[in-house]
Amino acid sequence: MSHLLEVKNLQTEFKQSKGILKAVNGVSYHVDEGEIIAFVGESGSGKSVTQYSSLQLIPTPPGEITGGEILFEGHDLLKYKPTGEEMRKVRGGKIGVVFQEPMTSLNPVLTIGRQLEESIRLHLKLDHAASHARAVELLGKVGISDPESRLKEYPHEFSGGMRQRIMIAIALSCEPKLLIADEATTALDVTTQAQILELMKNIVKETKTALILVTHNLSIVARYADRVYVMYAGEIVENGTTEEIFKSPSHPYTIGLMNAVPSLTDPKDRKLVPIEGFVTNLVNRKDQCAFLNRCPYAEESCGTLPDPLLKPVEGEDNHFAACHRKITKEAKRTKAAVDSTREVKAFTEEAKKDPILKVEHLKMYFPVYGGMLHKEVGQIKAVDDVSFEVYRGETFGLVGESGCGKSTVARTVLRLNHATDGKIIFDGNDITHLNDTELLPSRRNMSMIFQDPFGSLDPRQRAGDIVMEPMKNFKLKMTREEMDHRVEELFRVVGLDPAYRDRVPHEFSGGQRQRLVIARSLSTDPSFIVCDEAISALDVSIQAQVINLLEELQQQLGLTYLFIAHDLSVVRHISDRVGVMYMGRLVELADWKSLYDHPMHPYTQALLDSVPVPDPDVEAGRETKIIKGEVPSMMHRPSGCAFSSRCPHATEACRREAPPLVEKEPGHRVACILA
Amino acid sequence: MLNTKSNVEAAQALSSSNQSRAQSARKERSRQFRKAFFARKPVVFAFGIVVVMVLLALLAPVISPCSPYEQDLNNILAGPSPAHLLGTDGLGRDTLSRIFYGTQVSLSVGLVSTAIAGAIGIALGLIAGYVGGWVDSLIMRVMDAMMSIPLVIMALFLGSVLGKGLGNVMLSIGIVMIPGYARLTRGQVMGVKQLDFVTAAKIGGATKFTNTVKHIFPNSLSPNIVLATMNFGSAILIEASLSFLGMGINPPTASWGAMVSDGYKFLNRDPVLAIVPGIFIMLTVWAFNIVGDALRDALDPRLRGA
Amino acid sequence: MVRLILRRIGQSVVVLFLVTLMVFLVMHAMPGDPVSLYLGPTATPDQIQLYTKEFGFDQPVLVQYGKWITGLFHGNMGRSIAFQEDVGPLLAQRVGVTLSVTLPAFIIAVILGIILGVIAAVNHGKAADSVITSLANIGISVPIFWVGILLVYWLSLKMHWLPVQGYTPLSTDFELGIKKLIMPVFVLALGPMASFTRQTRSAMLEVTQQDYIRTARSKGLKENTVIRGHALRNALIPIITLMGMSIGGLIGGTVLIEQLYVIPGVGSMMMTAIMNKDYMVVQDTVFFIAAVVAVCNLIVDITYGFVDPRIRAEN
Repeated sequence: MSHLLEVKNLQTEFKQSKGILKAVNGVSYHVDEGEIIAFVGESGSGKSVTQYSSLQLIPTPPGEITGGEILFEGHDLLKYKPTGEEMRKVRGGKIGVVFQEPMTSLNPVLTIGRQLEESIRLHLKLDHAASHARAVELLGKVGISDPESRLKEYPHEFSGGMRQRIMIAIALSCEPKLLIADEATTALDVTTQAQILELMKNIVKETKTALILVTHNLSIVARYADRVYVMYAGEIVENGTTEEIFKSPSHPYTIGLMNAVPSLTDPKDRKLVPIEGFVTNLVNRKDQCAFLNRCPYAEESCGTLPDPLLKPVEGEDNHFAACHRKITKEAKRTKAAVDSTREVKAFTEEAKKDPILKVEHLKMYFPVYGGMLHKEVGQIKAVDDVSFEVYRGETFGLVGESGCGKSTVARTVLRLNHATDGKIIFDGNDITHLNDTELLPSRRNMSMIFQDPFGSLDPRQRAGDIVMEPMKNFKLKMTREEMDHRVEELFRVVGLDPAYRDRVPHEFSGGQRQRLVIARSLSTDPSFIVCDEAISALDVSIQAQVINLLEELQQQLGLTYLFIAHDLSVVRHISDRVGVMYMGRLVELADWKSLYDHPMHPYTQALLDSVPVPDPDVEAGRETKIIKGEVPSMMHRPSGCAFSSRCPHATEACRREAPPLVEKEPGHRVACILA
Repeated sequence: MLNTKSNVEAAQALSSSNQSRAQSARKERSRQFRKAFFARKPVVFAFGIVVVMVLLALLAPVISPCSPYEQDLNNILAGPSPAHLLGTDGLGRDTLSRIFYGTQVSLSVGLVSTAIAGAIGIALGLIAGYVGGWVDSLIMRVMDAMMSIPLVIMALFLGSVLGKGLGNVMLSIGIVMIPGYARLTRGQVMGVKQLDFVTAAKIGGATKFTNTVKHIFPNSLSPNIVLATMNFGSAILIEASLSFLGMGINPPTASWGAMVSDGYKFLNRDPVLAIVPGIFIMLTVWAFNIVGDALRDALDPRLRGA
Repeated sequence: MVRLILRRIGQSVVVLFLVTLMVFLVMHAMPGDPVSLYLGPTATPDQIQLYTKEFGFDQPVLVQYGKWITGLFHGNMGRSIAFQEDVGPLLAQRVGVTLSVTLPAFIIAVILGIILGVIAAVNHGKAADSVITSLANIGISVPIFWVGILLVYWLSLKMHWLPVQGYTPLSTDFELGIKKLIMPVFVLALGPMASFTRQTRSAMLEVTQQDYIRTARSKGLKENTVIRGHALRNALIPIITLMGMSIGGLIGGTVLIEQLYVIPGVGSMMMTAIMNKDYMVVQDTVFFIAAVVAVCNLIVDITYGFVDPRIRAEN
């Protein structure tokens, strides 16, 4: 039987000033009816370009499909003109696409009804009334309530998750044979991500549609995909069934990816193993293994051989890997050996007597202006009565979905906002109401690492000056030479060549930039560092590097971290104690083990249920409980417990009064009357 | 995505010997900038015109065949001849020499008025963005009021009060252009203020003043450079318009706009008189506009390295 | 939406008030006495005194300002020395003339500018793009009075197709009126048309990079639908802003055009007033122009709200 879609030896190139970039280099794959396949790889691996090529959606120029065949239902799509009638019938008619950015993928000036019906009318040749009815039906199907009236609304009136549902409705509008989801859930919160993925899975299984998931997230692959293609530098380096790929990964890159990401099921002493180095420059690429420069298993002969082709992995039917050597998870590394475990510090009662930071009943309200005269008409309670303490030398993780107030807590603690109410006690001093000058002595002892390393570095400042600036600002009484010396030392500490100190930020890679930010944060030798989503913007292999660096620094320098992140697996890996926030309140706080092993708050439970695990066996045995609904708007917070509107166990009592955070077990505090 | 890759490449290309490190990094940066700046062919031509105009202005006394003021009433409205390559005007003055000297007027008007407008406008924008509150509102409302009067009308209006003459023309054009810089700078300051690196500096102990001087101001500047380049051309155009209307430079000083106006009287007899100075106005303004466009593209990091 | 409009009207009133203050202060900083300037060196002190009293120049500055402002409110714009007429009716009579040049010029500039801009953007990097972009770049650089002169030389003096200058109301002689309007309208339209072309092109290029255009293409829409139905609607938003801003340039251009083609409009009236130091007229005209610009910008902002649902929602 022929496949629904079969791509053979696809080649896509981009012309650049310095030469030709082969973004897709001889990629072949196929997908059958009702099947879910996944493309995994980091940014720049060519996984998205491959999908756009198959739809002829590549911007030409500078892009060009230079070779291959794309057989869809037996017809070669490359024989069609990109904007021609036949291609357009397939694109949108038989293949639907859901893109990564829900916030920008819908046209802001057209109603969603128009955007949906336009596609229906075009492909199904329905009249206005019939296409409207179909649009209503589709919106209902993707889980949007009151579809009739919502069709008249514009994209900005919907949340990110809702927009992604609308995108799915558009993609499904013409009953496609194939659905392509390009990082469709990457920008979404974990509970919404789970909802959207379940929705797609159910639709696919119901209608026998095939689904291609393009993602960088191995856990999603493990939970949803039947088969997997691993891409690196524009090539497929390994493919097989999900089972085979996770059980016996056979390409060094696949193994590297798996070793780099933390999982909810990890032993606590597991050490992440980053993939060192950079993706090789694909402009004017050489005929040799593209992973060679980063491969920990490479032998000398690898450098002399041409680019390896996919070969069957011994003993398995549909499993292929493109490697000159026969590599398994247990294979010996030819480059520097690494530890796979780390030392986990014991957390003593003694340490708990010495909090470096105490936050008491912190409130941070932002005024909302409106009306003709721009008067204050309300408040957003971004942080509402939050209390916790951070002990010296620990990592305190703060998790929650976007908008829950975790970053506001961090910014308020650092006194970037003026707290509405409550107390911030840092190192024994009440810093809640100090002015900028009075704050200086405390500020010397705290610093921050930001989410976007590029945005947090002044593009016009040189790396060395960036690191030196705090030393000058705090008037540390250091001579110029001492400061120079310290800058070089800090560069080495974070793993940057001190020779780079004259470069400007855009001359560094993403990972190097984050190292530079870390170097700056260490320059005044602080004991407390806030990491605000410090690793979220980085590729997984770089993430592992930065996490390891943060851990090493903590050990060497005795640092305390307030680690804010939305990735629950990372927080579990790095934190000693964890707080969970929902709509401006702390709903649960415990040491990492009790929190992850016995979550007591229904919200924490829901969060943990939503997170997939990069292990198909675990996933198969897991019951996927997906929480319903979305986080309500901060302007319309439900009365009583904020979670009561989504909580499966909520009672009348929950809606009456907001439960306080109380200690239910030693060291385990929960804000729920039912726990 | 592609950007990062070329950065990596740039980074690799940069890691040369320790000695020449700083220098080579700077060299590489300026090389990249030049490449981005001259990416399009017209830019080379436009840049050439700017250079030629500057040279003409500087060398006018040296290369002009005659004095621009010397009248030869026996030889008025003469056609091109070896003595007068572009002929003479209604008072028998050498057209070519007057055009060369006109370059001085145009460029100095462009330079001085742009400097006035830039200095005052950027300062006002910084103050508005830095201080905020009612100071901001007051400054910006006054700028709005100024902007609601069209450039040429405003310049004419100010000119009618200040009187004619080179200095007054420079001043009124300069004043007219202030709001553009003030608005742009304020917008930049408000935008840059929000960026993480400003927050980072604050946590790193920078005071509001240090932060403004060291981070906010330098990062608000580059769009102003583009605006200044473009305004250089606009100033020349406004001066020409004022002089054409008889409200600009006092005769007998040679101004291209006034020359077109004078030439118009003799359009039927000697069209060259009106046409040639106009070509110079157009070329100069065009050149500054194109250079401004190219600067904008070269300064825009999104377009760099692609 | 109503709130948005009301707030914008409030802002415009504040700005116009500042305009009156600014214009008045600047006018009174003018060196020289308008009456003696008007009457010339042969005037007797009696005459000067009489006129000074008639125009109220003997009163304190603040009173003069108050009188002007209250006059404006009641539609009484004061009296012109040079024209020996009330400014109100004078202005009213001239606005019609100016409008008959600016309005067609504006419409032509908008329509042609947008069409050319879209053509350039759709053919990005091809010959049509280069030609249109180059012409637009020349269009924003060229002094319009000079283009006017070139056209006079070619179309009037050489070809004898069109009259050199002058203005005939269309109601008097339609054909002649039109013939006299062709050159002024075209020349005035040139600059704004060039900037509309540039702006449309860059807005279209920007918009076609957006994710939602990729979405539109992924739906299998015709390229034509993608461009007209999706891209242009978004690109129009910055173009509408430019329309508002171009009104000022258009009015500025009118002064030059009316001077060049001897058209008795607001621009030439202002020039006459400036030459004669007729300061009531200058003051009133500048205020009137600022008011026109303010109203146009108000209309633009309101239109904005209709085109962009996000702005509508903010209120």
